[in-house]
Amino acid sequence: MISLRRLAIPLALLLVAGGAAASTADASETPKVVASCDQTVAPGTFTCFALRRTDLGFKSRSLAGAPDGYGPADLQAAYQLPSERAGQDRRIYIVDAFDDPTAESDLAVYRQQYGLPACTTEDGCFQKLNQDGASSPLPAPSQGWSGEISLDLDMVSAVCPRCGITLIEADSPTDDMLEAVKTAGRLGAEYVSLSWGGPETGNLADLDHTYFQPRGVVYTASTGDYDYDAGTSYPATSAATTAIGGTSLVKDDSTRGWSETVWNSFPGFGTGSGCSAQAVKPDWQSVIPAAVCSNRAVADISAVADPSTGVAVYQTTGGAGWAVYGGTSASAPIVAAAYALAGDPAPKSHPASYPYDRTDDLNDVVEGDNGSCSPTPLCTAQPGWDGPTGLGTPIGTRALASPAKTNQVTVTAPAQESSVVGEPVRLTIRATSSGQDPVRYEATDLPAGLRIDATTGIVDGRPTTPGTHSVTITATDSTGASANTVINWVVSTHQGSRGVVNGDFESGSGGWTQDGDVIRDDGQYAADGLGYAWLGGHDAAHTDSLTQQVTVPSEGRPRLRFGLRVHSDDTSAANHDVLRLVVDGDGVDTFTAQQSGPRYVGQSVDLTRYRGRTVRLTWTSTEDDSTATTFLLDEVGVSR
Amino acid sequence: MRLHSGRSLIAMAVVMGAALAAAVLTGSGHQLAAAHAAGPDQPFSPQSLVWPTSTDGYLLGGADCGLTSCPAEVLATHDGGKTWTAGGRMHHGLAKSGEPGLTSLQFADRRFGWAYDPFLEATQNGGRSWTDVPLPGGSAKVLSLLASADGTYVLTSRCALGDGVCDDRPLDVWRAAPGKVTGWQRVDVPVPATGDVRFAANGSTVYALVRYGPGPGRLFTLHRGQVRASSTITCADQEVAGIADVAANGDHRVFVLCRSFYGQGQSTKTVMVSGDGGQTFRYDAVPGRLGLADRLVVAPDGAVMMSNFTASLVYSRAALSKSWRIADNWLENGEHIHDLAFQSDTTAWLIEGDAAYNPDSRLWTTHDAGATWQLATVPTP
Repeated sequence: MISLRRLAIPLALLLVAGGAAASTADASETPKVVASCDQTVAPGTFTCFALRRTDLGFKSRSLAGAPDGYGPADLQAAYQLPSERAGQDRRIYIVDAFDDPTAESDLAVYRQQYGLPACTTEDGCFQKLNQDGASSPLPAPSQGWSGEISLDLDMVSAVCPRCGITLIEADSPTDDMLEAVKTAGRLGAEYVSLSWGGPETGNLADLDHTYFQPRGVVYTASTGDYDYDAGTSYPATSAATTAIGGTSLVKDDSTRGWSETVWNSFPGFGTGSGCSAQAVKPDWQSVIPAAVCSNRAVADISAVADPSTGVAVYQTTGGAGWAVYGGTSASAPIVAAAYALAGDPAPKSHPASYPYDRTDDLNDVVEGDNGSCSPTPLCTAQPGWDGPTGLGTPIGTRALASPAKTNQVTVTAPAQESSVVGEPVRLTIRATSSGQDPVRYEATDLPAGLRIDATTGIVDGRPTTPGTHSVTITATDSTGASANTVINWVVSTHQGSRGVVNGDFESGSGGWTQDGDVIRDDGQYAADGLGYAWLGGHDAAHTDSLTQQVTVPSEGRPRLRFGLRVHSDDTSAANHDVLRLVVDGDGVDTFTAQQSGPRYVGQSVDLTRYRGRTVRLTWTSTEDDSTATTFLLDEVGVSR
Repeated sequence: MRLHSGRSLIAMAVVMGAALAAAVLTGSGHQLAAAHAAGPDQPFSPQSLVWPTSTDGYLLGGADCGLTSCPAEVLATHDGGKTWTAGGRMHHGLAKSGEPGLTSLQFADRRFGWAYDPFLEATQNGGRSWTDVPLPGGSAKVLSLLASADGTYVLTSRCALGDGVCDDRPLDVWRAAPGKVTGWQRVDVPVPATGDVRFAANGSTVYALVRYGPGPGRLFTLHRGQVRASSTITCADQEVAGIADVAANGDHRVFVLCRSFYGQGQSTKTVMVSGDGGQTFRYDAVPGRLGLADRLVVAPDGAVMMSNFTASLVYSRAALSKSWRIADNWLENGEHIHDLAFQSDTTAWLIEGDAAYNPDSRLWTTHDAGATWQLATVPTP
């Protein structure tokens, strides 16, 4: 094991009330943090363990310079992770409460900042689901939990940039979160990050049995942010989870280049640990003497969590840009992603047991404590296992890999699929098992009217309702080894399928990429039905855009047709607000505020020069800071 | 246009406390009261205003209010507010301080209407004469009411006048057929003793939004007194949020106003919009923390306005605009603004001050969907 010297002087932390952000602080100021979520936790409810540095405030995206806090390169280096080459075809599930409406766009900023590959709904990498496993309706938004969600998304991205990410949003921080965990299992999840917890109430064995199925899934659960004195937290104390503690992580001149101590920055703040009052000791914790804890002890392993040595996070819902976060809500997704880098967990195994067989591949944290207790290992670092940091932090991924060889299942399916209401669908999903075993297929959130054949993987039928679905296809072989893939499946109306996908916007936002808050479904200003696209409408400098990639017919004189309504209270020449239509980089038309009118007007653009090509259609509104100009689009189609 | 619904006594108490708080905040409450007291006597003090059509308006107010009594009267206009005529006197006067009395007005059309809260009076001739209507089911008081094309819906309490929540017996929702003042039938909308209901209507579809205090509410879609659908309404930041109001302006198009992170006269405001009758919503954050969100009204063309208590502000968003505006004409006075109602897509009205407490309550109007407001001449009966 590697011993770590305590080099960092923990900076005092002070909890501040409310969510107001302080301005950028002088470096000598005492760091201050705020908990993202309500910390009043009644029995049967959960809270998140994200702590944001308020003394550093939020930094605008436009500010020059790197964000404060550790980024992907730091975390990968600190834990010697093979992030550049591993993780392909793995998908990490994150369970949180409430909706973060800007989760995907914030994630895009984070990944772009650090040069990580894009991860979007469009490319099939990012998926957002409700607790039932469907892409809509999503729960109500929450500013507090959005901080937690941003932290989780950014940490799994930092550690496993090639992994897919599924965010499951529970309706509330109650048993709904356990339902979301159950949904993750049903979707074939192999890695699930749980950055939240609550008091150990109820029959924990029953909860484990009901919600943490099947076995052979990595569930990483935060141990909490309020020291040993706060008591143990469920589901970290579940025998089904790997309990993740927190460290202070600092760069130094050691061989490793980093050192870690128990995170305990200030009285009342520090990683959680302890001995469960209820949960039975799992076999793999036999290394922990009964005299220390005769039940389930937490943590198992750990990673950075100290806000004083925190991580960079980009957040715009409940935030205003770059922030620095800590809490064991940081360490749980870091370790979940490290497990994903390590490969598939063995079916029916207990992934929490893996590190206990490979302690040489962990940084043993031997300094620091998170309170006073007896027996002392429950709250004080020592060689080998201790409560605050468990067995230590990862050195690469070997301690997180399944010791048993498992079959590899691979599923192949398109990331995007489009269909039309009433028209026949036949799509073959292909999956293979390295053991040459037959596989069985399952699908969730298939459009109504479609079914999947469990043995052939053929999806067929006729969709009955327009909409956008995030379909998860899971293939499982006879050994229990499984894999899944995600299809963003848009079912258009007949009207909306004329050479484009969802051209009448009656299927949600499917088929389109929007920059800004563009696609609406309230019918208020639709040409027909409920859906329409609304660009502009701001009385400040603003840009909105709407894009779809289409294949232009190779014959005839193809034309792009759409309905456009322009509205502005200032139709004078002084109003320079415009809507530009660009086809594959070519500006083909411009519309201005002077075209204001009370109704939609049909537009037609010749696409003959693009015949046979796949091109991107982009409408971009540009407004200055004077009178608002609205541009409404509906009934988009490409005709021959 | 949205027909404004009535207030509960609980809400009134909150509003009164809030108005006081606003006066303290602005430090001008006493000055304003003095200014009003020194002003010319006003024969008619507006209290509640409705526009069942863009040309037909009705104004409830106090006529020749004295210290001990404040007879209630309704004025009517049938030319969009150019001229007003006096109707008959009501059986009950306006509420004087600490006493029960009429506070609100609703009209289903140009003839049939109600004055209520806590009493219930009806007219079937455009306000020329009024009938004192017994409350359904032996109820003691009306807490809120909606007059719509689908009939009249009322929320009643069995607690005696002057009592707030007297026991744990649930409140009752009743419906009478259009144009009828009898034949009330109970509606299957459960409302706990500590809850209340905000109503809204679009055509013959009625929405009853049950508020339970902080946390989610329940939206019932009603037609002919039958529940056609119901759904849980969850505000943004649910753990620290409460529902303020509901409005509707089209087939299945429902708006809900929420306030969250409230305290010290401020709140974060969110307007939720649904195109499917309240099954799913989008959430539009409203910039500006000042004021506790109270009332929401929506014009047919999509223009939105909301009034606040604790800070007398009107937030508005014009049709075909995504940007919000704030009007603060009333902020320094610290008086309660209420009865915000659209007359047309662009013209709307509100009342500043409660006639029962301030004989100089004032009428305001906007002709640009809330961007600017002008003091309107109070009609002379």
